[in-house]
Amino acid sequence: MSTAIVPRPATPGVGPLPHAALYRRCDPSGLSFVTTADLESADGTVGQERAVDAIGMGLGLRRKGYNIFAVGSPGTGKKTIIDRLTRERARSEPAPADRAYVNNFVDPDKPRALALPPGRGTILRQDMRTLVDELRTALPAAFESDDYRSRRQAIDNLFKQQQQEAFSKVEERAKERDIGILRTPVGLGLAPLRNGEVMPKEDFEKLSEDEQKRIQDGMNEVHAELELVMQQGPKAEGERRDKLRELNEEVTRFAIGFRLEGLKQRYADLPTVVDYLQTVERDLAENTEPFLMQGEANQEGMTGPSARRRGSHVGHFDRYQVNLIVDHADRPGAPVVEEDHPTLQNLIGRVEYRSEYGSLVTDFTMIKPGALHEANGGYLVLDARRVLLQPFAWEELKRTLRAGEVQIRSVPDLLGMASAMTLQPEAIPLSVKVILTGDHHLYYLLASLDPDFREMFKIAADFNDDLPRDATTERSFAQLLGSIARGESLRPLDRDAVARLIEQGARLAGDAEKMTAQVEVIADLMREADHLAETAGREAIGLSEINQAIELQIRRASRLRERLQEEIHRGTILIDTKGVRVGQVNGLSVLQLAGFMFGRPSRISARIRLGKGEVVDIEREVELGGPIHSKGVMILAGFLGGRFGRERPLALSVSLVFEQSYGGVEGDSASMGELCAILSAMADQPIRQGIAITGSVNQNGDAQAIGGVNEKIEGFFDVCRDAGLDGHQGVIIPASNVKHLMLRADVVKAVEEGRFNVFAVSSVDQAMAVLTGVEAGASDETGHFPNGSINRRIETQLDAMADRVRRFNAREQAEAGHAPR
Amino acid sequence: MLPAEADTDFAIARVVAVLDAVCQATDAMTAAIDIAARCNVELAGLFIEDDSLFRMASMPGARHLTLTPTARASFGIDTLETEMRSRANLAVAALGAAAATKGVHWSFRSIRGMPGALLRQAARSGDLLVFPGAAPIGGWPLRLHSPLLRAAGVTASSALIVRRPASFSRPLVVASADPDRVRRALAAARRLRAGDHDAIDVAVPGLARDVAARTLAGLKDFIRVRELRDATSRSVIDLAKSLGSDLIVLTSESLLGEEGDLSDELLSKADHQVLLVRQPGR
Repeated sequence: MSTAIVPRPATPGVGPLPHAALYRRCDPSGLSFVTTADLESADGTVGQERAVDAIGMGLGLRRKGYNIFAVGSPGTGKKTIIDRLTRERARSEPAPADRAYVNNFVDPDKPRALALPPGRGTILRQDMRTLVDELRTALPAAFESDDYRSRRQAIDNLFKQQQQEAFSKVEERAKERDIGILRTPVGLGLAPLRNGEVMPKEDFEKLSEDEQKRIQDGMNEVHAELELVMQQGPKAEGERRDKLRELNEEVTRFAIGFRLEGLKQRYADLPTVVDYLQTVERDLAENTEPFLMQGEANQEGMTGPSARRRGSHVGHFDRYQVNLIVDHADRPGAPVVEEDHPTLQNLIGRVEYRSEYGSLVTDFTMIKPGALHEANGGYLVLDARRVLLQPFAWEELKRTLRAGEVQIRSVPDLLGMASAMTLQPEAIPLSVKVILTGDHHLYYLLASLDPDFREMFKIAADFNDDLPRDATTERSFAQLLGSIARGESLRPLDRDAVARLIEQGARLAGDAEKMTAQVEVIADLMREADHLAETAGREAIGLSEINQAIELQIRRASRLRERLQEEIHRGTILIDTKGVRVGQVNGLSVLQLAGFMFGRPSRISARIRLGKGEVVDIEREVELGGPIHSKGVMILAGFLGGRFGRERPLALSVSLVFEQSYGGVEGDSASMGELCAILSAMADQPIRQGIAITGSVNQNGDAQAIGGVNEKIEGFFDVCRDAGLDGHQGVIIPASNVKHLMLRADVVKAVEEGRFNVFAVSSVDQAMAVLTGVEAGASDETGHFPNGSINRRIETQLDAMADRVRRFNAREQAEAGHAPR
Repeated sequence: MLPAEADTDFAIARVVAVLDAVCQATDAMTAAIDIAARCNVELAGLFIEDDSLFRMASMPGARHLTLTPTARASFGIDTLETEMRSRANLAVAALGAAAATKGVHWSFRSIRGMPGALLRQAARSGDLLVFPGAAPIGGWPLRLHSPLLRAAGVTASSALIVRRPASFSRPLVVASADPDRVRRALAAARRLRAGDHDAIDVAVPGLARDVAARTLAGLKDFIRVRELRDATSRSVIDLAKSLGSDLIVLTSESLLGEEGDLSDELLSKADHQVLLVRQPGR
């Protein structure tokens, strides 16, 4: 292996890229404003026309299943666009019905749902409050009237009189028979009397048998009569209660009749409300006592335990309340609701409980609406990931949309667990457009794994991650930045700052011809630059604030990158930036941690030996190589076989490794570098260590584009800068990546000054020429490569190895043929 | 307004709470303890085991009708003895606990005999006997003549029949036209009212209102004369109801027993609380 330093070659056919190709500037002079304050507001849809059209269609299609999934990377403005489009549409639509729950007087566990035109829910609620207030005065007055008292007294007296008369008759008959009725501790006793007192036993026994029998018979008769009277008691009491109830109902109906009649007329256009008022009337007629319990009950507000009755836990006056769960009284159009904590109960509503003597009890007044109730008749915006993270929320959301009604159910209900006491509120018909937001990964996962998903969310609004970069979009982008500044009360940006942010947008997109659509990242820069401008006392955000903000962001995130650079500089991680090596090349990888990407050089080495043409990927052998990386390595074997194996067997084995790599290796962006290392080893041709290489390669040896090209170049540049730039260092990239170049200013400057180089190659042969300074060589019509070329040297090497193998095999066979049997 | 009468017009030296196995005694016991505490006198609990019940229980062929689901079908001496003991024990425990909370000195005695004779004897040891009202039969508004209350009508001491949680805020005094008796009745009523000196309703049966007013002219600042057309219990009860009275105070022995009506109706069957005010030394 040679370690001699070779002079910078006149790279055959491939020269370093000019510095202008490394960074596409945005010319501030092309921006026709002084600051963004001069610009009109943007609608935020720049570059997202496809998604906007999809949302527009989804919002307009009021059909089942035409809900929307807005899919796109975070920060692409999905929420902003959805919010604007839904609110615009909602404004032109009518406000939906008010929704209320009222008591079900027949079955309090199943509260009734009422729908009223917007605004009339509040009126009904107030009407019912007024009714109860009036009845609290009117009913006691009615029941305190002389007329009522006398009629009630008459009923009581009649009952008492009838009972007492019946009892007195028995007493009379007993007395006639000289039998006394005595109260005992547990009942009534009968005994013969003498002179008004119970006859002593001895006296009784002195009586004649006939006399005794006469008394006994008398006692038996009186006993039978007494029993009859006692048995009639409960029946008579029931009759008395019935009569009193009839009287109470009559008086109540008289007192409440005209009031409820007025209400019924007022709501005559709403049959369900009229029906409810009729049930109120019936209940009031049957339950007047609480209205009459003025003192104690009023002090408790008629919500205390004494006011609870009939198995219902609602206070007596509360039972006539209207629990208005959705009130659209002041709403100009349809509702747009965004639920940022989409738990099951926040979506479908819940029934709350209160503790009462150690028990949890509830009633219809404790029904609370969910986002689906509030958005009913309008639009509900949800973050898909958050919905999926909440237990039961996703399934219940789908069930609700499928059923077309909101049914409040608790988690124990959904689990089929019995709960001690709960309500089953009547379901409310649902007409809502649900708009989910999420990233592509989530969208495709749902689409492939949840069979209901496509049926429920037929409209996908696909947001671009980036925008084409041209004069129009740059201007729109500037408008968008102005809108953000205005919306968040930031200082306006001057032209230079806007131009720099456009360039940064291209850098974030990883493409000089595009800009990122992840506006939130740019907005973060603006906020931080605004803070710097404030500190500097500037009225507008300028270029220096933007540059400083970008630098500070990088600095905050680059601890690990600096640590890696330091270890390379200290020689712990072995990366040569000078000299030459056979079978060794500097590859480039990209690390991404918490949104921050940086390049990391890695030494790739290849060794050859006699073998059968296989390429041993050590990363794969130890299961550190991912499938794409393994695929890339296998492609190399294909390339080698195709180029060199037609005329001779490939009598070699190649082993390939990422040096000092202890984690997983994935991707094929190192495959061109790996191939160069192999070719170098096969040709025994040293590679310049000052040149790093990135790019994938196909079986024909064509260079293919890779990702993270900017970070990779900058990663190697930093290592070279630390080691000392000598003008020979540089990075080879696929030519198809040139359009992605948006390099750091210091890299561009170094290139401009001839201290660093970026080479764009179309094939591995070009890459080898750059790396070795020797032509790879093209085969002639006879299939042979020119003398001195790398490929020729490889052919020669392979021929020699094949010959060695042939001779080795012949010797083995000869030895085997003379071996004693 | 200062009362026309003096405390000495109705002095109490000892209160007797009369209890038995039949009546509902809690309210009466509470009232007796309150009065004893207010007058700072001793309270004696007297549990009467009505001998008539034992006679009945021992009678061959006597019939019994149980009114509670837990009662035993057969009712003999043993059952009665057990019930008596049990109720007496409950009574003494309740009396002791309630008296202790009020700091009242108390004693308790259980005695068997005919109620009339026992109460005459008891009247000698106390100047106010407090009786419970008769319990309703079977939970509905039927009332049976109570031997205990019948006996209360003929004791020498004053007697108070308590039928509900004690409230004596609006008494109605039914008196003969004797100012001394009225004055004593007023003193008794004020004792129970605990310092309330408002004018008290007074009715003299059979006297026109103006006549009664003239007769009781010396007390006119302290009473409101009401008209009561006759001395029947019905008239008294109606007047008490119309006035919203919660206590009927009877002063004249001539109103009791002789008519045979007042004693039965007022003592045994009326819903009102009744205070019989005896003249000292009767």
